[in-house]
Amino acid sequence: MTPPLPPDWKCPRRVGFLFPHACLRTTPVGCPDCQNGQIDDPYYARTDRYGYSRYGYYDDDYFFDYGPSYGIGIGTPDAGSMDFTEADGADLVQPGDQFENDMTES
Amino acid sequence: MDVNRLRRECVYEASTPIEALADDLARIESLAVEWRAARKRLFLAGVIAIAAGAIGLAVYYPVGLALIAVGIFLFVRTKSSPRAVANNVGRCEFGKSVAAMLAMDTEPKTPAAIRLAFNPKRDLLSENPLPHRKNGKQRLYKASWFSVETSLHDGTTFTETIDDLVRQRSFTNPRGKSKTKTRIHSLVGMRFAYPQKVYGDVTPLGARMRKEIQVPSTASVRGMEVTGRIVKVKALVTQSGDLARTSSMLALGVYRMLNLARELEARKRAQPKTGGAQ
Repeated sequence: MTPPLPPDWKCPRRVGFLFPHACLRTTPVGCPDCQNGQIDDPYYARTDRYGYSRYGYYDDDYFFDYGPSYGIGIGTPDAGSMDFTEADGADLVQPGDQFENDMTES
Repeated sequence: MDVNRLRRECVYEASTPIEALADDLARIESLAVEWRAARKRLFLAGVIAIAAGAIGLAVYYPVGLALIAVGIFLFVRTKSSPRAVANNVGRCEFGKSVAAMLAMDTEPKTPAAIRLAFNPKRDLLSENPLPHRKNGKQRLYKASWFSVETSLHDGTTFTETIDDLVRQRSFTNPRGKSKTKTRIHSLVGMRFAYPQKVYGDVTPLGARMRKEIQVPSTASVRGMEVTGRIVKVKALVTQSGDLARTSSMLALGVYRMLNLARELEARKRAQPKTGGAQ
């Protein structure tokens, strides 16, 4: 059973047909976009855009081709994603396997 | 909704929230069904009255004359239920489809200005002789029957128009009969007055936008103009059944590039500022 929503709750999901915008519904119950909260990104998950498959997706070529026109440096398609985060740091100190600690390995 | 104007001029014109638009168009559809049925009833009653009047003339002529007068009155009354609305009721379906598309990206209470004409005036564009045909003549007309304008969530003002381009060819065939052949294509025009603070200047994406736009096989993109404030696109549709699909596909094609522009604009803003004071 899902916990009750706070009274001032507004749906944070992205919705829209032509472009993404905030949903801001006060409940996911009966929502035609997220279908009662089952779809995380209703904007991206739409399948009614005729021939436009992967409508909200742009490969790197778009950013390399048009980034300079917008004053964005070539080779840095997303400068923000290159920054290390706290989660990256946690991964460094907690490796998933024990390889580095196993001295019997060559 | 102004039903009297719809009946008199065959025009629906309103400035109403998108959510109410679909209800109005559904009402017009049901009115069209009612009016078609009423026309049939009146026509049938008129035929019966005139037939009875013809018999009545032979029996007792004042009754015959009265019945014929009633029949003529009934024929005239059929005009009060315009045929054009029923004949072009598919335009309501198209209007509903556009309204449904816009509703997904518009505040529900935002008014949309809509005009839907079921019997629009035809403007003569050209008239030329038709070669190799006796009494051959070709006329080209334009008839504007749909327009809608509203503001979208992102601040863009969206405008769409539909003009029918009518080619009418008339000639006399070898048997001496007069023939007229009509072909109708539709020109879909869209205009997106986008906010520059959200999308920047999308002019550099213009050529890619034209390449990315997809339309059904019965339609073709005929023109595109991209400036620092406006994107305009035109497409010619040869099958009226594909109008709704073409409209959606055109808007999607334009917005796919506008969305890229927004992403590029956001990345530009997120870039650390270089240079400055020494």
